[in-house]
Amino acid sequence: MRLLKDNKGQIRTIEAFFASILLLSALTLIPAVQEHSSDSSETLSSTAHNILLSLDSNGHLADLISNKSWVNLKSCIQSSLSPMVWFNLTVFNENMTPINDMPITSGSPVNDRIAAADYVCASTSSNYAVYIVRLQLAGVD
Amino acid sequence: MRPRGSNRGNSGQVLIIASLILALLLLSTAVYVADTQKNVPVYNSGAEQSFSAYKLGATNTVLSAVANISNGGSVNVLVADLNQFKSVVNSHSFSAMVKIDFLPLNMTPYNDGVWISWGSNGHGVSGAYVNMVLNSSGTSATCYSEYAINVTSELNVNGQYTLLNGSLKQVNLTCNILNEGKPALAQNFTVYYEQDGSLSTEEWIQVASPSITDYGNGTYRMSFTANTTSPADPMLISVYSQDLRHVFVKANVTCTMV
Repeated sequence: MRLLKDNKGQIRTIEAFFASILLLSALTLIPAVQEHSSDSSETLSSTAHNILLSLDSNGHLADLISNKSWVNLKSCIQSSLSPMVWFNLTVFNENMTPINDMPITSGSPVNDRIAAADYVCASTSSNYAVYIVRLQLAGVD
Repeated sequence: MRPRGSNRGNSGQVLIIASLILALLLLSTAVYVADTQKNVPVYNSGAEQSFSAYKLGATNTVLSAVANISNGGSVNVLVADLNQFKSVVNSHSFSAMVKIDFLPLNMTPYNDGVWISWGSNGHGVSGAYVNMVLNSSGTSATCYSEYAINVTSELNVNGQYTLLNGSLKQVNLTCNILNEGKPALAQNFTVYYEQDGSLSTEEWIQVASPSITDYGNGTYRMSFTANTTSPADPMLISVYSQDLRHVFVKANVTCTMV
């Protein structure tokens, strides 16, 4: 009967319990934030790969390379990315010699953390050629 | 009358507990948002992603070979191109170990994976069929796939003609272009007719500018006038076409008189 009447101690216990849960949940947030920052380069690399894959889906990428349409290629990449993302594209032949005679880039990198994807692109035209396309991306933190 | 002491002592604590619950609610929302952001469906990197790229590359390689062969190239181009692709993939796959094996189909109507049939029944086919095995092992995933690449460009031609004046004939053709059995668009057409309607001495005359109607669904209607040696000569037509994939197909047909 006395225990039921005296609520002061119980409420303090509940208060302490909630406070500890609050502290614990705050602690769980810290690794989540760290993981997010390490995932960003993987996401950028995946984005780079997806852009090249979708450009190549109808042989368009190989056509642009075969015709040396570097300006059009730059426009295609630019339109697939957010303006906040920096990119640099290099096209290599089978011997890993760069073949784009002009830079296909959006300027200077905005970040030191640069993610890259290498993509093997086969042409669909009767003059068969295989290119290796490297797309580097960097985003603003 | 309620006891004074208990009311005064608990009101502050209840407020603190309420604020703690609110803070917990906010925190759990933040955790939920962070977790949801992490689970945004991003295409899995590594082996799986490269896998799709290699599948597409192999298909493009077969398509290039069919374009080459149908335009007069050697049948060996198919195997040579696939070997070239395989060697580039082997030497440039850094994120995953990739193994590509291929086997061109050697079963009628395919010969070394290639099917070229430009018949006289109004049906022409240029195609290739290759069985592929792709095995990609990355740090996070291993993918294995056995599948077939089938590239087929078809041209179907039906023709009718009416006698105009003497040996002058009005010819109407209906052409259908198909890619892998589905309607596709053509890049260009060239139409020829046999001058005396006999294949013993082939004298094909190119139709200068046939009127072509594109229905946009792979069906094309062509009309032109042809002057054969005599009015009784059969109307033999040969249609050459290149689809949007640069694959060449040819079909010959004997038109029916209406």
